[in-house]
Amino acid sequence: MGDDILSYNGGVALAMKGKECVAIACDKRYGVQNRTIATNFTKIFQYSDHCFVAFCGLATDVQTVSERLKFRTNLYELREQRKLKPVVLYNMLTNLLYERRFGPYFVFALVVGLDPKTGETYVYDSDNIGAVSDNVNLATVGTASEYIFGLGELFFKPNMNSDELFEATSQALLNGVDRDSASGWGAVVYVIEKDKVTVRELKGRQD
Amino acid sequence: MVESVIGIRGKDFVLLAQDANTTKYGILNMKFDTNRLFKLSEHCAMLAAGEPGDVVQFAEYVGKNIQLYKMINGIELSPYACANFTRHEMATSLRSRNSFLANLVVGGYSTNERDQNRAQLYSIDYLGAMVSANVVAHGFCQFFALGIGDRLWKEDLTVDEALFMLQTIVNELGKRMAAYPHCVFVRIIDAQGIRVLDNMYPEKIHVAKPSEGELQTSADMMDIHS
Repeated sequence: MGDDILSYNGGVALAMKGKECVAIACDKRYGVQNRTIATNFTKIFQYSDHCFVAFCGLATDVQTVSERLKFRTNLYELREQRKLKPVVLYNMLTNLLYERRFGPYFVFALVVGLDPKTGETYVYDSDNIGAVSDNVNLATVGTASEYIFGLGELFFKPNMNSDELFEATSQALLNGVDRDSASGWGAVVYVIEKDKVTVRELKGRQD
Repeated sequence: MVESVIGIRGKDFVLLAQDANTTKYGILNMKFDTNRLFKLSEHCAMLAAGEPGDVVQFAEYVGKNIQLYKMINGIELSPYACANFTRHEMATSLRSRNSFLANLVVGGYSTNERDQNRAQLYSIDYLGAMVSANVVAHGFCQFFALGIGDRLWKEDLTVDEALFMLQTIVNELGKRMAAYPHCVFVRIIDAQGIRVLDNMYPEKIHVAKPSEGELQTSADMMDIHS
């Protein structure tokens, strides 16, 4: 821990793809170094019917960046008179982050989305200065991201249905946060399908 | 860090408590009736602790702007809105020339009937991270307040139960903190507004007198005069 600004508050998020469904999950801890202050700090925000973003890093920047992005997406929807697509949201986010290239926000981001007509799935991640990634099967950000990457790779199978996807995401997250003192205290999992979004709260080890 | 600010949320009320000491150079007690509460609206107030100048400057700035909103728009902001405005100001000032080293507790009662939770309590740290919780605190007292809150807080907490929790916290602070809180100011915010309750004091610590046995050494037990 020590001086590392990205692990000052802790937290983790994970995103995984399935067949015409995507899942995004995060833990609920809000802490200051080794002290836990609250256990209701979720890091996932919704920007459209099927577009979600998770921010992990310094808590104040999680809130600031999610608010600033909301401002931009609201203006987009008012001007364009249509809802956001995941790729557009991702580009807006990376642009927002790169604007502060030499005085950056301390958040890493995950963007997930689904096209309800075609069923095409999108999972992207970004570092704190807006580096773009490809559309990947699995992505994690946060203090326990390395642990969760390992588990995610293990549990991931191509073309999972929504139940399998939920199980894989949940197990990867819950077991990964058990290895990290700065994450945990419960989790929230969003499973996004063409016709619905299911939110489930998980109770893991409460430590 | 040595100043205590605590907030407890109960059923339709919020209790805000602050220690009333001002200390200098880490050891001198200068003042025993320091006020750390800043009224934001009729049903919302903020406790602020941290760098002395920053606390007053920031708290007054936010307070006056919220009052200005009321004058311009004719309605009072809910505690949720006040807290979000405060957080925004804190986060904006963080990356500017003037940042404020002030940790805040914003609490109040929402007069909007459509709000699900009418009693609202938020903690905002000096970086601008805001969180809503049932028990919030800043400074060294956080270690005690959150732990005792985990044990004693429950759904539909009554005023008496909340005051008991607060007295437990204050007793613990009096026992364990070198910066002893001589007096704690307590305010309650509910549907009737902001009211001041009786001051709280840490309970006296009783220490047993050392026994006479300790005053005797082995040399005393040798009879050298016989």
